[in-house]
Amino acid sequence: MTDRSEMFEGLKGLIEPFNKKGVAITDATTFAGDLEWDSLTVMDFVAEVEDAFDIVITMNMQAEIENVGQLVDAVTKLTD
Amino acid sequence: MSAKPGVVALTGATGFVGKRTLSRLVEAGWHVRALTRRDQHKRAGVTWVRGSLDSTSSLAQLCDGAIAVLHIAGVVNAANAAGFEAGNVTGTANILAAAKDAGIKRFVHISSLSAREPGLSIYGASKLRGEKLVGTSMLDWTIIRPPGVYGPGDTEMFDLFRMASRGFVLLPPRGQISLIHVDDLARLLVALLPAHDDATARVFEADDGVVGGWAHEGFARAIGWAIGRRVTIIHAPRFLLKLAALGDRFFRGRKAKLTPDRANYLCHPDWTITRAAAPPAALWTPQVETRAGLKETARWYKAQGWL
Repeated sequence: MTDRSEMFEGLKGLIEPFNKKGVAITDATTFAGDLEWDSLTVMDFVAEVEDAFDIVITMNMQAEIENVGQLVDAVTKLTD
Repeated sequence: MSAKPGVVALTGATGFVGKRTLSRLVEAGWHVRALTRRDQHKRAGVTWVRGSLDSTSSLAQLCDGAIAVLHIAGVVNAANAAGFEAGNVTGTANILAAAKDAGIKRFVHISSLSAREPGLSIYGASKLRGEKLVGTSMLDWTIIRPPGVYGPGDTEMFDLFRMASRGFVLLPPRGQISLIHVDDLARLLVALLPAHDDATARVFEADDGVVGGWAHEGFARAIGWAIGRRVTIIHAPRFLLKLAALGDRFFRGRKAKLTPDRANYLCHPDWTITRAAAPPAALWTPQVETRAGLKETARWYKAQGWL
């Protein structure tokens, strides 16, 4: 439980510099819809996450991640 | 093998690989809508669309009514990282967006083997970023990473032919490279264009079928043989090549072919394809025997008066 909320906070911190519109971040916040990120922004953000956690998020995984909650779960799994 | 040839949107049609691919597409029954910056000669089976990768309105026009995109255009030489980024990354993002807006599902993307080593060159890094955009696009995509492409019309490998014709070939430090004839590459792209279950979401590396690729030296000797001249081979040490690259940029400026970025890339010892990443043989196998291909290429250079 704490692990997941820590992960959520960590990722929220990484999202902030890209959150130009100051959208409130919850599990349900979507990258394309709510944050209005284009594909280039998504790619740069994914690179940040990969560097921060020393993980690789494959293209197939990325294609399935639409919101913050899914990202939290995916990164949690990868860092296990 | 679902999609019958229909309209395909093509970028890079006026380049070395694109020209050959354009002919092969028309032969295969496709109607090609091809992006171009300059006016081109009218040609049966081809509709030229004036525009470029940074003009989204021209890309919308290019994709309208097409059932597939073949994205060949790319920036091989640029003055700085921004130049590579604009062409290979932003340009790819733009054509992907245009394809999606037009309801196109199939997207075939030409990358480069250099994307495998993004730390080696800005070029390779930009090609990898382009691949990532394609890979996360949710389209039915296939990426091809060609190794060294040679054949009639090529200006990149021409320097090797020219050196060989003078009897001396200056090579990067020892290493292996894979090669592919432009016609084999063009046939591969045409074969991949219809949707295939075993090509969806795959990154393919394709070559002339020579297992283990070519040693730089063996390749230079083969070029010498192709033009009928015995050649002396000199391996340039890494520092010399980098120095030469700086000189080339100084003297030829933006026209320089041997840039420092390219020197880094050339010095890498292994530019051979991963055999396991080759396209399924049922779909495509190389047809051009490399020595015969080099001979044909040399003949073309001579016919053009380049050699």
